[in-house]
Amino acid sequence: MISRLINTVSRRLTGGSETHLFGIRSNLLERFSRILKRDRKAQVGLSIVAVVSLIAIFAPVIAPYDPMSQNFPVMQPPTFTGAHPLGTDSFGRDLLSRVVFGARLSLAVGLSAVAFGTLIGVPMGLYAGYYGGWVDDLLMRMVDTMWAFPALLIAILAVAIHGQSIWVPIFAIGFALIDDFARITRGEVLSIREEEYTLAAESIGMGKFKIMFEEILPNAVAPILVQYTVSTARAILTEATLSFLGIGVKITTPTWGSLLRQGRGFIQQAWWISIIPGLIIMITVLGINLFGDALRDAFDVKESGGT
Amino acid sequence: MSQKAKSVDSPLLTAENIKKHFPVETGIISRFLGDEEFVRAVDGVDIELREGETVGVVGESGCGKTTLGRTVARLYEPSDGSIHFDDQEITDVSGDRLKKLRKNIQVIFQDPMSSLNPRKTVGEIVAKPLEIHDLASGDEKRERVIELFEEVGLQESHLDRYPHEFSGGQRQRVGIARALAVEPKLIIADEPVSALDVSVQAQIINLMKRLQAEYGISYLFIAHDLSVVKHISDRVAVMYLGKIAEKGSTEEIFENPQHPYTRALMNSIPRVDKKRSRRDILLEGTPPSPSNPPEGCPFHSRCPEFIGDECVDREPELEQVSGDSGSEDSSHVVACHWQEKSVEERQEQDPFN
Repeated sequence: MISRLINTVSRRLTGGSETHLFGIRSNLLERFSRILKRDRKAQVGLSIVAVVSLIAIFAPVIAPYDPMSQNFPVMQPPTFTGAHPLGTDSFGRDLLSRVVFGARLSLAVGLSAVAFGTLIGVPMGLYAGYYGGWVDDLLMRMVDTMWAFPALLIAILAVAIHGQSIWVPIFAIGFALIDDFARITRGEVLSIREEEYTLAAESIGMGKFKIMFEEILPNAVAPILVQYTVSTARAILTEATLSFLGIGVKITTPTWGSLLRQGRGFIQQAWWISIIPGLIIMITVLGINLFGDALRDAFDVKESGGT
Repeated sequence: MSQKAKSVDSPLLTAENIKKHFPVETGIISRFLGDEEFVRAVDGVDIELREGETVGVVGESGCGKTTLGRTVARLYEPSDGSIHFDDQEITDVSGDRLKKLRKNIQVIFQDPMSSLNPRKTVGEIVAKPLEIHDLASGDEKRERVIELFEEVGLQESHLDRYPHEFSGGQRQRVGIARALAVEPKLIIADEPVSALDVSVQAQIINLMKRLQAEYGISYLFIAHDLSVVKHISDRVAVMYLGKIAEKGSTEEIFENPQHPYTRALMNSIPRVDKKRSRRDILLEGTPPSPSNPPEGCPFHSRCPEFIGDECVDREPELEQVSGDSGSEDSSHVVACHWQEKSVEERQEQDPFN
């Protein structure tokens, strides 16, 4: 079902013929749908990602109650049916509503953090790999330095300076991801730089900037995109860690991590307050990773197209 | 090829004492201590090319012929030496002047798979030089690309396809169309046919010959296959370990090879009807490392006509081949100590002569 949908979408987008989509040959979508057809893991991964994304997007419609309202009986166990299917927390808030809104924030934090890391890391890797020499040395030593700082430390620093807000985990996690993207991009650029088409671009008089963004970057997109998905899963986990430790978002903001934290004190009386958000984090991260694997498979045959 | 071109006196391209040394990646400490090692890919090569002429450069892989081509095309910075093109010094031009130069010198690459960006249609690839040099835009650009396609034997319907949809020969045609787009005076053809099937090789060579006659282009034709070079070149330079071993007109090189290395290369062309002579020794082994070339004559370690100490102690200079060897071409030069020997000594060395 899903694969047929993707096929239709890809044909709609490209008018049936092969064209570019963000610099990627669009038959990627077809190849992806072919992988979906035979690969169970890919199906599961895509389904999880799709469901979680839909929940996040339509949170106000799906959630039965306001996630902040405390008008219900305290610590009601999950019944899976009725008024509070996932029970209520220690303040009498509906856990399902909080988890649904939490999907929104957790995904938003994850995706923005990775976007932050990509926007800085990819250009860094591109410059370092293409220019080489001292530019490479300078940028990569900077990356090495960043590598030495765990997200946790940066988050503590950011909280100290800025106070608790949703921007703190985005910045802290994104900063810690810069080095991954810089390294992956650089490695890819180093091999693409040796391809004759880069020399050919130089020989027809293209400028360095144009060569980097027109010739090299589109050919390096595949591993970056795969890294993007995998990093999103990691970012969601890290956000949960930060929130659990109380250095992420404000304690009242319902992200999955902060839900976990709220249940910590009541784990013996009311296991569901922590366990349910924990399970949901686990399933989501698993789904994104499976999705990333399928994406990697779709990209893997990049050159083998027709021949 | 064309008679008119050969009468022009001043050469289109003169490269003197070209050197290109690549630093071997060493640690920061040895770099600091001045312990840097270099690969001497090209080590003092003179080459010149007249308008409409084809000069072939041959040698085993790793002899520096590709590096020479790329250095002359200014894709690599020369470590030493000077390059003149069209009465201008181009050794270290940059910026706008380099861009202008790019319009006059184009390169055809060896691997037709790797030389075309897999993410672009071949139409975009051929149109790119037109955009970069503001030669055409819009409909005019499209028409020009179609014209170029037809010129190299491709069709308009190929325009929107991707490189992977073509065969090797067709891809090389795209590469030629791209080089031709800016109507260059010189094309550096870096083993343009060695990745292709033999039947396709002939087609590409004929195409290149036709284009040369039509546009008066000069070629620096790099190859490891002597029979291909013989077909297209007016003059031939034989390279070994970053240096020129022998240089002369194609006829001279093939009829009257003087350097033992050239003779060994000739012998590597398979032939059916041939009596064997003592000189028919095929080369063994691989060339020594260009980061640590042998003392004296670079070829002495593999030379089948090794003389003795002089080959090890002293590096032979390129010298004009004397009339004794039956040479009538004054531009035929060779770097070998045998040239200093008398005719008798040389004949003694080759009883079949």
